[in-house]
Amino acid sequence: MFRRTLFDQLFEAFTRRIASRSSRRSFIGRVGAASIGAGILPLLPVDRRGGAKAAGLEGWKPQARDPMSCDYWRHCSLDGYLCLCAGGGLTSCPPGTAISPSSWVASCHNPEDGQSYLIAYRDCCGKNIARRCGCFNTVGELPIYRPEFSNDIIWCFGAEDEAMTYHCTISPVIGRAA
Amino acid sequence: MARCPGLRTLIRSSLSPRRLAFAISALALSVAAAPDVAAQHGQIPEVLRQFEGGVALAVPVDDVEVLKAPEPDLRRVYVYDTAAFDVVTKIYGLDGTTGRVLGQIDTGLLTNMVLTDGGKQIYLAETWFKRFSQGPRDDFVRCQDPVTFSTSCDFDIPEGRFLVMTMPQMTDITTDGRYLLFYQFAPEPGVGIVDLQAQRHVRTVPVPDCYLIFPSGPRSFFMLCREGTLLSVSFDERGEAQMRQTPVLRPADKHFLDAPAFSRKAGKVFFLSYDGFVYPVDLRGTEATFGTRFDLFDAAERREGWAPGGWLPAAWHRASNRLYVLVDKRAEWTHAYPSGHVYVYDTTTGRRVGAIKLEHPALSIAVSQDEEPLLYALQAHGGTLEIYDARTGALRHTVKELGREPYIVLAPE
Repeated sequence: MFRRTLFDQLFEAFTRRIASRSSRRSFIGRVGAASIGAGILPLLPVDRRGGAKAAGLEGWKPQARDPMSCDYWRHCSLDGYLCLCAGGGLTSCPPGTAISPSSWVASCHNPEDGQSYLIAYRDCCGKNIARRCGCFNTVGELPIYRPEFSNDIIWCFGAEDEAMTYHCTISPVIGRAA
Repeated sequence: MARCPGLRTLIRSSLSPRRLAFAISALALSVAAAPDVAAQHGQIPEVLRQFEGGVALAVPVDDVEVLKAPEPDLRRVYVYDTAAFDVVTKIYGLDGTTGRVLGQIDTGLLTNMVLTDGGKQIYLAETWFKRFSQGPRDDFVRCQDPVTFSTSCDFDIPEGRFLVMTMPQMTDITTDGRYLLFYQFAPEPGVGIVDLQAQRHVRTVPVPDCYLIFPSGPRSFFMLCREGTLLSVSFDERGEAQMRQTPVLRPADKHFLDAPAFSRKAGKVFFLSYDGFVYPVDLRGTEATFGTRFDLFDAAERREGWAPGGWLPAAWHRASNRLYVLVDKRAEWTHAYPSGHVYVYDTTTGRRVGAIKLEHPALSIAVSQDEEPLLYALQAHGGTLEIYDARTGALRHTVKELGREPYIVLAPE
């Protein structure tokens, strides 16, 4: 019940924001609550592995000490640049950028408390790429035909001034995954 | 006529006293030397002997020029440095035979490049912003001359290109070369149809929840849909479209990597699943024929964790029916990471016929379509292209410094 409410809130907000900025039929119709809500949650990958090193072919090994490092547990599906290294924070965009209302989601394991959390990654938009603290994490990433789990998209849909350039990414928690 | 810097040189020069003095000296020297140079091209002009205090120079005076690249052949290859998501990017054109860079194309954010007619035609679907990364967005199509590396056409399209890390099949061209097709994600899913002959956007056709574009005829293409079917689309000159879904190709419990091997010329696509199976499909007009699925690995390799992976992890050589696949031992969710090996399969039998251990793990591969194919293996984070003999696995060339994070390597059909 908790999970359903959480996702409903997330995508309702997303839908409203997109709809308010789009003059045409919103694309959220196909990525809407019907397909993205509770029905999709059982498919969310839940990462439960521990460790402290960066990802390689051996797999994801998250740590909970240094959020400016790519192997910080919240960044498990972050393929981009950390706003923490570009004047922003773990959950805040750098000055002069526009925060996107749209996001992709992943379930990341926190080795500190042994719990997995839902992260709704948000892109900070409207400036050229930050190119500091580049991370290439793909836990739970699904192909482009499942865009809500794809981290290869510039997720700036609905950002102010229709800013469609990617600067960096933040990793806010939106709830517990399981 | 000898070349003379002249006034243009002076005007182009910086106005610093040192540079101005140098330019004036060069002008004076050229004017004085002109008759000698004209008469003794390839020899040491008298004026230079005097200029050097009477000591003869061993190197003749040079002419300068802007080169043209050779006519493109099937050994031409392009490396696109997306530079992650930078708004200013570049494409390097190389000769696969020699490993030399031939020229550069400057471009914008997440460009899609399409080659037709054996690489004689180059089309770019591009996005730019009025003020660097800000301001109104402009999407357009440009043609590039593969010999002069200059722009030969440039026209506007609607601002609908899907800005995703470049996936070649988000933009393609119909089999007759007439229509460019680009995918639109927002505000609603669609495929933009662009008439390359008339140089105008015809219409953006709304499509259901389907992605990637595989041209299958002069007025038809296929897409891969969320639920595992393919979408067959045919259209007319006004952009009016007919659509229907095929039966399910992708099982519900499997996922396909984003970049299959596709041959527009042969009408064949080979989808790879995360867990290492190949799903061949023949695409002709509006008909899709599913081939027999085959396994990339044997039981022992599966126990060791072998799986395909990379950004462009597969390439198909049409004449020999060979499928080249990036593979490695890998943990779950490392499907987009570089691989250290290329396995080779005969697609008529599904059997493995070769394996190449790469010098360095590669993110993307391509293969030349000539009779003696080359395998191109691109390292994104090193910016290095390794060129192998695709039949023997012998390393022929290593080309370094190809940008910051090149993700795309593209060879013509």
